[in-house]
Amino acid sequence: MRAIRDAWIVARFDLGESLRSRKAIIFLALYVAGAIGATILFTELLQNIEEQLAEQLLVARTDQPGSLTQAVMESPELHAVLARLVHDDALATALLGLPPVALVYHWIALTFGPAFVALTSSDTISGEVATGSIRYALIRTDRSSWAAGKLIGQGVLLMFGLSLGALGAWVTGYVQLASFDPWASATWLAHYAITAFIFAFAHLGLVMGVSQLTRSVPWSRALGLLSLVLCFGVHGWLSREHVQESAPVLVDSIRQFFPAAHRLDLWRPEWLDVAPGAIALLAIGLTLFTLGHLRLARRDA
Amino acid sequence: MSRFALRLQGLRKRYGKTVALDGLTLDVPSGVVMGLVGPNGAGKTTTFGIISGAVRPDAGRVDVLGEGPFDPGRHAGRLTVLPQDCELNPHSSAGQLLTFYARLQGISRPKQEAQRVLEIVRLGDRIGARVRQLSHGMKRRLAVAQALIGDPELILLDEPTGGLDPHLVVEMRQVLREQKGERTLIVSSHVLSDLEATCDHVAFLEAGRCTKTGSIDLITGRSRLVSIRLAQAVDLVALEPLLEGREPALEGLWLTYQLREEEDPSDSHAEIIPALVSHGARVLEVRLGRTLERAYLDSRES
Repeated sequence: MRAIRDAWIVARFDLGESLRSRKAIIFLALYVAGAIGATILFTELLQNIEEQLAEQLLVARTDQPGSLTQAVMESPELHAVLARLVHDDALATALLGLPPVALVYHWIALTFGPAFVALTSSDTISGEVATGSIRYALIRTDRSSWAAGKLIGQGVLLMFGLSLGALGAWVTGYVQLASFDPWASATWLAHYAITAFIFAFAHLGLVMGVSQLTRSVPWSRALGLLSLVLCFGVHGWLSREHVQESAPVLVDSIRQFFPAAHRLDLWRPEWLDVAPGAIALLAIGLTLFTLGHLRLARRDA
Repeated sequence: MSRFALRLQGLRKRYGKTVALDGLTLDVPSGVVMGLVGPNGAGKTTTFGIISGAVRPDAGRVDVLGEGPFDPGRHAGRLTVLPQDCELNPHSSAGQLLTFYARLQGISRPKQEAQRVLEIVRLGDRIGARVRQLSHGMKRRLAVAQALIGDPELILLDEPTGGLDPHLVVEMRQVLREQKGERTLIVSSHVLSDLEATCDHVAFLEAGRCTKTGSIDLITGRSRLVSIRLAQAVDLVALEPLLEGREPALEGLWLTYQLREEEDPSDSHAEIIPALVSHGARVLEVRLGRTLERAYLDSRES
């Protein structure tokens, strides 16, 4: 019980300390700006499609995108765009029934979430070891509770950033789109904020695991980014057709250890379909974090 | 309560090829204020790190408060430390930071405790100030404040007066003296006059070992040695009849001699000083024992 209490106390303090730092404010602003920017780009794309559609249907053009949303959602162009994003034709068809703003947000969050995590959290632990501030805490709690608290704190910060991004996307959609369903959009943005969090959490575990390996802030930042690049790079290579064909079972088994292998599951609208991938991602994040912690637990702080 | 607040036996620690501790053995009785004295690289900071669990020893045994090596489960709140050159989290206020530490220690009213310890280090009016906005001296006092949270039985202070203004050094000495008798303090400092003013026990460290330890009275000879500073050198041979059996010695302008068994120092002063003056000596200062600095230098030379 004491370990849980301590982890929670550390998490609360870490979150507060992060929010009071300029770095976190900048990255939170980037989360929001990224979501808003992507939504604006999407609405411009939507308007272009609508204009083409209006020409084909011989109906009047409108200045505000979304007037012909239903027609656009049924258009083969959008279906093609979506299929490219999720790499699955059937799933793309299912997703076309969802608010487009939520889909764009999810794509942006899945694409850039890991990079943001690497930038915000890769020096969270190494920084405290480097400055020695960890020693003030470790005289009062054990290393595992402290490290778990840091992970929870950064996790909450991540969720906060993703939620702000979702809010930004919702407001932008509300302002920009004519046929915007506020309730459905809010529901699906919340749904996808959670799945984006789960995806980013696996990478959070990776960079915070790496952060426990070194006491150098520049090294932990570099290693965090490098491990992320390697993670996506190796997964991309394993996903190539000729590699998969060489040893299908083995390659597919290895792929399951990489977060990117479970990304597609997170697009599925039903929670039951999301669950296997989500559990795998949470397990990957916790495992990578724990592997890094094995080093911190044994070395001089 | 254990007789010893701390027992270290044969501690060894290497950083690569550098030997930081080479079989350090040291006992610290409960309730004392002990000064750790030694040159840079003697192993003081590493010793503190090992006692507080931040540094893993390569060999040796540590017994903190009679309950084995440091374990947060057993020792959290009972042992606190002011580490050397460790920064405090910069973005929080002094109050937020101390409240966080107090919460971790399980203090029931953490905010009030933060205010209390800030008052002790004369920073009560800075509770809302961000750590990064504090001066170096204030940060050092804040770091001392965190070591006073709760009711610790053992406090380790590594260079508590380092970088403080002279008037703050005096205040810090006072803060440390106020803790005397309440708990066991181990203070590491290069400023031997600070240690002499605050400690009742001392240990000399050299190349990762403890070369001498004991009460300040014993180490400096306060209980049996008289030191007299003269304005000019005197002929010791001429004084021999007067100082017979008192093991007199002359080091520069300092004349030292031993008190006799059970002899009251004031009786000795009444006898010796007028006799010295009558021999033409001009007395500038009389003190019991040597300075800690002298005792330390003598110890190093021997």
